[in-house]
Amino acid sequence: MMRVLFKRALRDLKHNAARYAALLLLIIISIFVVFGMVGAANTIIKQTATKDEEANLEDGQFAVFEALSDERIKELEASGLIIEKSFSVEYDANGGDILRMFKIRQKNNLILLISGELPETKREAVLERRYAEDNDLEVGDSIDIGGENFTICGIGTTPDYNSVLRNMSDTVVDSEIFGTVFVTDEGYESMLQIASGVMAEEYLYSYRLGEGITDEDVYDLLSGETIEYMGQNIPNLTEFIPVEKNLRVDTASDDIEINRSAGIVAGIMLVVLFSYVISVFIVHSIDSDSEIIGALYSMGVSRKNLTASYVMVPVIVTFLGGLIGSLIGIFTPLGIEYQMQNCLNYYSCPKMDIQIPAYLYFYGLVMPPLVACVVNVLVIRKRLKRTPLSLLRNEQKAIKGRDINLGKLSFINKFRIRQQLREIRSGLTVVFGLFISLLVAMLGIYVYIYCDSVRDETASTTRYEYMYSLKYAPDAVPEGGYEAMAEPLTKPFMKYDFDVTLLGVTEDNPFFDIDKLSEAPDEVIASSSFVEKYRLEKGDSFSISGKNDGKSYSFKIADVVDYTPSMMLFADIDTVREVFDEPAGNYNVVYSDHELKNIDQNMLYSTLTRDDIVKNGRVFFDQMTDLIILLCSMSAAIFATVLYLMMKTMLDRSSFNIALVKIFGFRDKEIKKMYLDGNFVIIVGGVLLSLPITKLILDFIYPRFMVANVGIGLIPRFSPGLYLMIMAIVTILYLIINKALLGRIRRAVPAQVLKNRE
Amino acid sequence: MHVVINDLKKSYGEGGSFVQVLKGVNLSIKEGEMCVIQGTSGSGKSTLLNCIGGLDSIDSGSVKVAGNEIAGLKSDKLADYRRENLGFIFQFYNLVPNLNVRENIEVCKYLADEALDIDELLDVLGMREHASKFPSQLSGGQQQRCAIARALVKNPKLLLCDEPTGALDSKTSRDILMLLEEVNRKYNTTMIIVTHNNSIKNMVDHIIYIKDGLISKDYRNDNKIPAASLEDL
Repeated sequence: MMRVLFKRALRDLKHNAARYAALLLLIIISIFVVFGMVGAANTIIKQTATKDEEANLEDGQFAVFEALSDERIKELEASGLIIEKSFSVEYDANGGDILRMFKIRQKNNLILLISGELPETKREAVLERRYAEDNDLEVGDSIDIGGENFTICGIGTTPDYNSVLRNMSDTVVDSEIFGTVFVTDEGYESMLQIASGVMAEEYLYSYRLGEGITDEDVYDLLSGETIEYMGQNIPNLTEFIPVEKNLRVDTASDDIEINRSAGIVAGIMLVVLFSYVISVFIVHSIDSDSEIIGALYSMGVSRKNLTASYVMVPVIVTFLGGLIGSLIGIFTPLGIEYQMQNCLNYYSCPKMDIQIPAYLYFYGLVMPPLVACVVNVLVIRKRLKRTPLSLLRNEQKAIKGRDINLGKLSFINKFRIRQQLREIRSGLTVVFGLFISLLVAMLGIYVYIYCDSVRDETASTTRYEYMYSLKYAPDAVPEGGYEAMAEPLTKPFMKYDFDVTLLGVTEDNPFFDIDKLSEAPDEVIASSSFVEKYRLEKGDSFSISGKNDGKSYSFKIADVVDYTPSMMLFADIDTVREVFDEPAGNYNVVYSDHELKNIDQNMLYSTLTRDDIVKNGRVFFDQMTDLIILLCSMSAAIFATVLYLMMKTMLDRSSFNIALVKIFGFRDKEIKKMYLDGNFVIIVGGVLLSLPITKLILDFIYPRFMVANVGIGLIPRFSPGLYLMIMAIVTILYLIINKALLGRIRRAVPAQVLKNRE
Repeated sequence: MHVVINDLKKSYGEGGSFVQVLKGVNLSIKEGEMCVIQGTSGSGKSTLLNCIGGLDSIDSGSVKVAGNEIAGLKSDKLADYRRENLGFIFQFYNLVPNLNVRENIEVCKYLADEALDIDELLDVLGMREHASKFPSQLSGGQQQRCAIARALVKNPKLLLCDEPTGALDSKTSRDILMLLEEVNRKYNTTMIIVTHNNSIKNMVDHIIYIKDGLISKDYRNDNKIPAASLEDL
């Protein structure tokens, strides 16, 4: 008996090849997307932790104004710290780029080589991976650094520059123009002697905590030290960053954590979706085979054998879908590798071996057939509870809602409504599929609008051409420049502490769109990037801490100005000097609309040009383009597949009725109106329902989780045109599928259908 | 003549499964006639009905209904032909399950420019009180009455009935046949009834026997009796 039933199942597979192929495609897409997202995220998270340990990742770092003496370092080491100098100098390199040069580390943040070897001679260097990749540099190539020729002996990464931000306050990484380089002690010292850096040597130390000492203890040990500078005692500690607050460390795994969560949630939703699709199939199959089942059942074929025969094909198809999806996810460049590449193209990660968690294998290989089996068994058991006679007669339960009084509606409209009520299960599946695909699409669109806005608004709100950060300010402001006093502040968002600059400016500064500076010491004008990050408004009050002294300040937002490149608070320069005890006339930043030739280079801490800032703004967009395309195409594929499957099922279920109305003399166009066009109303309703819900979900998730580690705030704004575009794309997909299915209506031969029925 | 068929041939399948179902059928049916086509299973009577109804293509020959040739018409033209000329009644009623009685009738009313009044039809067929019921809430006889109403609403010139009493008990069968008789009288509708039932031939004007794809007998019934008097239904 089972052999015969098996044959029946195989013929069912052959007969419904298109339907099963679409189901297979849906499962392949679902599994491979989830495999890719979760597998890549898991690999990066797990491997980052392993590699951090391998490389002795620091527990924190601090920078000082004047280098610590050897004795002081020994004292600190005696307190239980493993300290290592991590001094650096930035040099012009490779024709206009900036490379930050370090000595080879011995204790903390060790180099993990990807290729080549560590340097042995003073003109050999290990180049950071991302910079090397973006500049097509390989081991054996030469590179000009600070006017000296270096041979690249190795390419590698260090865990303290997982995110190769030049400054902690930078919004994005741009590895085309900035990277790190590691040379021997001799090489580093010789460069100090003969080459001039673009800024002075930075005295930074990394530390690892020993037994019984905490970050707070280290801060306490360092924060009291002062040095004499320009006749004043100032704190020597300029920066103290425990590793968990370091925006350069482990950012890849922080960033991709959301992908893991999103992948798992997407996985669950997709399972629900394809379970529902399968249940629609099986209900249709059982209903159309009701008489056959009744005949077999009445002849004594067991419920178990019948169930096995109906479960077989969906289980095989879903297993194959899961297997193929998993294999694509693991072994092809479209899956885990692709998803990882998105991350590796931005973050400087070491070599990583793909690490797939056991639950992902369960998800890909066991769950699809298991879900198909469970759903099928439940549906079949329910159907087989009917008596053989009831099955033979194909008695159908009354459809809920079909007795709705439709009043004086026209015949066609009445018919459409009845048809939609009859197919309510398929309709709901389409709406659910639409919701999931719109969620994926909206994520892609969200990423696009965010990146596009960062790019455009960065360019439009940066009005100065040059920003000079000064170590020492000359008495007279360089001619053509506008002085400002920048005080570094910090404010937490989620688990990150972000740099916010309080900028004291003069009334005549033309580079910021400020109408009137407030004279009240507790009032500031906030940049849009600040208020949008912290969801504040004009008139709101907030507290913020001094980055160096940890003091808490409270400010009220007097006004908001458009400024995107970084988070800024603007106030009158004299007020800032007064609040932060700066001498009258002091300043530490100069803005200009042209290059200032009369600035003494020794006084400069750094120079930032508008081109650098605008280029930074573009990086997001360039990095995310592939992801946007992937998300939008996935979304379209899921929607089109679900829509095709459900519309085809609706048509199959109605095939007899269609044949019947054809016999009566209805034309194909009229039949299309009666049986297919009602779906458009369902789809439009689904879009109108799904769009605001998906937007609300993303409004909540995106700033909190997707870009929580980005140092600016920006609320993407959706134009009405965008909504219309989504509606147009959905309509086009619908029309294509509708057109394809219209062929089925045309091909239906009434006499054949009648004969089959009899 | 209302229906004229000349040398109609129809086959199915190819190679080993080739079957010549109709081998050259010739017949003519007058307007307003009630005609029965009888034959054993597989004789070709349903195929003949499908060819007259434009539901199936024909291999060769001619089928003229009301003077119009339907052989060789494209599917759109065939749809128009059915729309304008035909009503169908099936053995298994074939009502649309998610439409109630009135709505099932409306399906065909939509197709006619000068449709009959649905309420009047429901009265004639004794279905007025069941107008808002769905097919699954009706007995077999009531479903067939609904199917007849649906076929008649567009006032077709030709009514094709494929085993209209095949699924009914004898009392209900008699009721249905009386109805058909009344419809024929009232609307002068030409009717072709395909049936196994030997008694039905006694109430019609014209009897055709088909055997192995050919007409074996074709004669007019001069002694027809009312449906109410039929026995052994």
